[in-house]
Amino acid sequence: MRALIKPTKIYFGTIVLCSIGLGTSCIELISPETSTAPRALVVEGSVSDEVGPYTVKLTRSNPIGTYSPTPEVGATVSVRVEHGAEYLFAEDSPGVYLSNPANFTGTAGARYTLQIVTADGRKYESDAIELKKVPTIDSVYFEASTRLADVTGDTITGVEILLDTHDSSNATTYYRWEWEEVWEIKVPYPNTYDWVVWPVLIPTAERFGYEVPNNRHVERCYNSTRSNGLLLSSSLGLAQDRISKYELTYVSTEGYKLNSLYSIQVRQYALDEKEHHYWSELKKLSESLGTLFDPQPYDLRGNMHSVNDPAESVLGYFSASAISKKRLYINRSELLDIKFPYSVCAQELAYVENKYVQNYIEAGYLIAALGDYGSGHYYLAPAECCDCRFHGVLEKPDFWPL
Amino acid sequence: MKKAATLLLIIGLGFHSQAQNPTITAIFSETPFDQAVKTIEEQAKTAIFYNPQWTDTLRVNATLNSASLREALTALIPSASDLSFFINSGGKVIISKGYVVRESLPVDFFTREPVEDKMEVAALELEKTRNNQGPVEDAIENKTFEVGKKTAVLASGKATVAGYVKSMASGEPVIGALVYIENPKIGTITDQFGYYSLTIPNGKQLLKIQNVGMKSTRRQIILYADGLFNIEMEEDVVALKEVVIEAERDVNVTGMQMGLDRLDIQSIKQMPSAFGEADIMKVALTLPGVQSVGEGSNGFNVRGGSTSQNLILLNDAVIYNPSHLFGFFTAFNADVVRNVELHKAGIPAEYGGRISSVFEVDMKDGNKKKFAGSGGIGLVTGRLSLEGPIIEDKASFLIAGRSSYSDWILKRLPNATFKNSTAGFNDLNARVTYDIDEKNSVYITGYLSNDKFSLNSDSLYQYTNSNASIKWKKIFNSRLYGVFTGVSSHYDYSLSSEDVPVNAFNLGYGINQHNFKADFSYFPESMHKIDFGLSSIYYDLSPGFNKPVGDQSILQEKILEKEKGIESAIYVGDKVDVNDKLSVYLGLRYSMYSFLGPKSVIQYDPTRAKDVNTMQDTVQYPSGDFIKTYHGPEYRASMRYAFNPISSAKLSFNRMRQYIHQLSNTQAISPTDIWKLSDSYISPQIGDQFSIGYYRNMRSNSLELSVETYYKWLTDMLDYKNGAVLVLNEHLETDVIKAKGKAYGLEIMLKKKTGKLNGWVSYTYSRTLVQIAGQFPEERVNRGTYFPASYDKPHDLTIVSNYKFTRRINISVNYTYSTGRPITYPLSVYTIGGANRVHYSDRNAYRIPDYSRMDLSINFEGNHKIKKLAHSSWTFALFNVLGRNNVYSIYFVTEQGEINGYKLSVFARPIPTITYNFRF
Repeated sequence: MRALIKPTKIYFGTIVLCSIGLGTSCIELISPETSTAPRALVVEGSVSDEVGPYTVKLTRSNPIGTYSPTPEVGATVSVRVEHGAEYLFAEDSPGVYLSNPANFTGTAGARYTLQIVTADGRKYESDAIELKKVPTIDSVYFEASTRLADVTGDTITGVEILLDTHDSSNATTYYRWEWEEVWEIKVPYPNTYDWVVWPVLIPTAERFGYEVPNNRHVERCYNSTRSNGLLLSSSLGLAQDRISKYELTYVSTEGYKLNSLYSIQVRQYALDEKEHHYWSELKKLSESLGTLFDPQPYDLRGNMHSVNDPAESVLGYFSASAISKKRLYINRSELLDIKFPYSVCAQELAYVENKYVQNYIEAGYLIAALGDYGSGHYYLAPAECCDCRFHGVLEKPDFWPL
Repeated sequence: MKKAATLLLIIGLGFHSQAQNPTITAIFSETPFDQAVKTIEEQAKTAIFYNPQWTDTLRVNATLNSASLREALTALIPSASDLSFFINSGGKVIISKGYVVRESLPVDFFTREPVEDKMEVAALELEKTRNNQGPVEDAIENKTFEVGKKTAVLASGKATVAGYVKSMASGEPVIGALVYIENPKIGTITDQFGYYSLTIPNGKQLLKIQNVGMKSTRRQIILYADGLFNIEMEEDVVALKEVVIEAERDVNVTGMQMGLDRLDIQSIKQMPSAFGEADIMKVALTLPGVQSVGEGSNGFNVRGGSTSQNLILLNDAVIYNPSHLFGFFTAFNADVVRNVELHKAGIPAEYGGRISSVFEVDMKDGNKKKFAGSGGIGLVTGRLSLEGPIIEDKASFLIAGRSSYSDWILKRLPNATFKNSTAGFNDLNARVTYDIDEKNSVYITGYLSNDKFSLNSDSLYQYTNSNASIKWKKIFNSRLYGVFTGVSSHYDYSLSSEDVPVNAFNLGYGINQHNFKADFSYFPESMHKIDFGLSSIYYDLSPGFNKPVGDQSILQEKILEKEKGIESAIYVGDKVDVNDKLSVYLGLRYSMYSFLGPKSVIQYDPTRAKDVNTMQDTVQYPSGDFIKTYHGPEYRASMRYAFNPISSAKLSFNRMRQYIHQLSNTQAISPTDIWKLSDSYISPQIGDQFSIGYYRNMRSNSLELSVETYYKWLTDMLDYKNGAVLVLNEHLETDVIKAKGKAYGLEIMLKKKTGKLNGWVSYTYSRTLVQIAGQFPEERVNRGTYFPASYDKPHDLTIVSNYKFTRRINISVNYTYSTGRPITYPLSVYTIGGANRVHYSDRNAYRIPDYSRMDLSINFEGNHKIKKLAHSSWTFALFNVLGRNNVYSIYFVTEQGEINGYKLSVFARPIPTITYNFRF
């Protein structure tokens, strides 16, 4: 229903009231008063049937306007198996606690409880949750698709990354996905020379110099991102436990993502009803506020609670699910039907006389190529067209096929 | 009327002459009576008063020889006629028709047994009659009227005199006028038809009639038996601009009702408003115990009730959305409103269906005497009303229209967003009143309002209220009358967008309501007034649809099943004046409601909270099936004890049941809130209120103090679960939850009604707390503890003042302060899954800043010549004089991954307006 009604991204009451008030200034950006409420503990943790280490990340919520979470250090974190052992997590970096893969691997069907004792002695516990089985992903694939850019309204080309999955035992119903995309970046004018200026006694506007090979190999890099929205779906109400053509993300032809080789790995989790409710409410609360039909926000609670004070807000969720994974590669050669925009660098190549090269370099250019032999000219281009490190890292991922 | 005319004639003939024992000598043969009278007048040097109509065909035959005046008259007046004469102490003659006038009471008048004889009547005091220039009113006051069939003897008991009090100028009923006799003290107040019924001892009585804006008057009557007696009152031109809220001077103390506010239209028109238009609801908001969540909100909250718990009636028809343009204007055009009553407590048994209050707006009747009109031109709206007789003194019409031209203004604003927006409304009121005869009157009323707005040409929102009512009032006899009313009310809204052809949609909602009711008032004797009646309402709701628009739209049509229900009630209420000090009202209403098929009802696992996961089955009910029935008694009781003429205490208890519920959980002000009938899962809301108050008038009734306190219990209020979706929801029961509420408060009001400076100061302390503690954790809000309702504003101070410089210039200054309303506030930000999230507080745990506003208006009246083509006035108003940036709401949105907070103020600076009003 929600999707059918075009969300009015105008704050309904607001604009109307303003317009009636004949332009009385009525919406103001505010910096909210610093809340005196205690900072809540935020728990992000999961166990699975894969070999660990499993991560439990503990942070504290911050006043509005601060964007880096404060890690919760020095806590004692453990996961207890129902009728079984208790496995301690060790703090690896501030606020990040890791299990020891040598002694703890999750089993589907077992029930786990996360226990936390913070440095100040307060005890927190999760509900006991079952590590759910998850069906394998049937396929992850792409389809070409055209969209309108948010801001400019221009038509952009790209691909939708889609997923199909099903559970023939009809036992899963609720699904959640995460993905990590990795793409190769090849810059059009890889830089192989540095520039050295001749020393002069009296500084002048004209500075001559010469090129030196640098052997830097910055033509090919890799970059990656992770999904940061909540990807949820359910087969509730359908005759089969099947999800079809679920759109995981949209990859545009702008930039380097689809320029060479692109890869996306999808991890599929099974959720129970409560966890599904939690994530979908969290999504509703933080991703779509401000439209006409949005409900009032509220204090959403996950499955963590304080042992000492049941009224205390504890944020986040401790999940347990088996994982099924699938990776998709998209090679540029598979996208011949898609119209790519001109590369930003195509128009940027400059043919520069020796005495001006230093000026260009100081303006952020690099040597793209040497000019015709003996001409005393050089091809220069903006650094981001010559050095792939502007767009990623040189280190190739282990799994990269090429 | 006829009697009045008669009297005029009599007065017209009157002149002074004195003579000592003159004799008369004349011969009359088939002489016209008039001529004979002239002869006698000349010879006897006296004056004879009579109505020539009685005698215009009468011819006399007599021979008089030095006859005395008495002998002459005896000869002149045929014994067979019903004329008789009377010579007063000044020697003047009055000829009367139908009864004998006596100079003094017979000696045995008070002791004798009734006899089979013509009635004998006390002397008329005609000396007071002025000469022929005297105003009509004075003449009427000095006339004695007979009431009841005079065939009978003057029975020693009591009889009931009843009738209408009407305005002499327009023929309109005068509501709330006090009609009383002084000895013994018996009085009553005219109802919404201007009707009164008074049971008083037989014999000669002096009825006194008082009302605000009217000249006080009196009538001498001789009451023989139960009978009708209509009274016309003259408008008091001088009193026209006086601010008086309660119609009666001492009703604060002596009236039975508590928690009743009656607003008269004059004071409503004096209050400054944001856009220069008189606004009934904004005035109601200045009363103690009445609040709203903020500017531009729909409706109002009465003593801790939600906006949907007010029964808002316009001529008996329910108005579901009483606002225009997001609450900046009310749905009621003040030009056609006669009377507004707000019952906050002690609600009489005839009202039911909402648990918080009754807000009754009564439209005025058209002028029965002459054609008239009025109108106004303001910055945002224009209005015009016309009225006049269809049949003089019997039937009249009134039609009034109002329209905004805000569209025009928006188009002229520099901002492109506004240019592409539209916002406007219009409404139309029409009424025909027909007094078929003295005992039967019919009122036909229609109302239509439309609102429409679109923001930056995105989506178009529209809503419509429309209703029609027909009312027949029948007076069976002076002790019993009945009113039969049939009403149809309709409300709908729609939201459509054709911006993106593939997504073009039209989403809507609608309510139809048809009711019939019969109300009777019975006055068995002066101590009692019994009201009884029955009513039935048929509801037909379209809970929502979403349809594709155009060929390209790929939207799938969705239409929710209709909801139908029938609500009926019977009631009886008796007001007993036990003695001068104590009055008691006892009422009982019994209401029944059935949710009707056809409908498919989803069944849920009873051991778990209702949600999409616990649905088990769907049961189909055929058309006409009673799917679920609720019924129960509603007790109404109130009591007044007067300590002395200037102070009293009142006490009341009432229970109300409500079978239709409004749901809203959106952040924005939205006309798309939906109404839902009670069904298999949603039981009726029940509100109980106990109220006690003390009232005292000071400085000879010019200062009124009232202190009222109340405690309210609200059961099965409908609230929503956290994260509920309400629009187009096929199974609302999964998203709503029953809530329990309690509200209590203290209201103090000091009012000065007269003098150059008048107005009132009111202070209210009130709390409204809600508890949502369902059986399952999902059905709890704030862990099942009590939390403040979103309209809980503990402190509220209102000052309304009006200063009259001259009769033509007055200034009003109003001030209001209240605690900020509660909101759910973001406490902090945190990160999960790489994205920023907001951690919100408990529901309504924080408050927006306190609210404070001052308004000012100046009224310039044209000159007060009674006879001129049109009367006009100018109103200059400054809304929010202090320019205070009152926060309406604070909200937070995630924009490009960042959380930004905004605060919204509706009027961030003073808003000047100018309005021109006229009437003719």
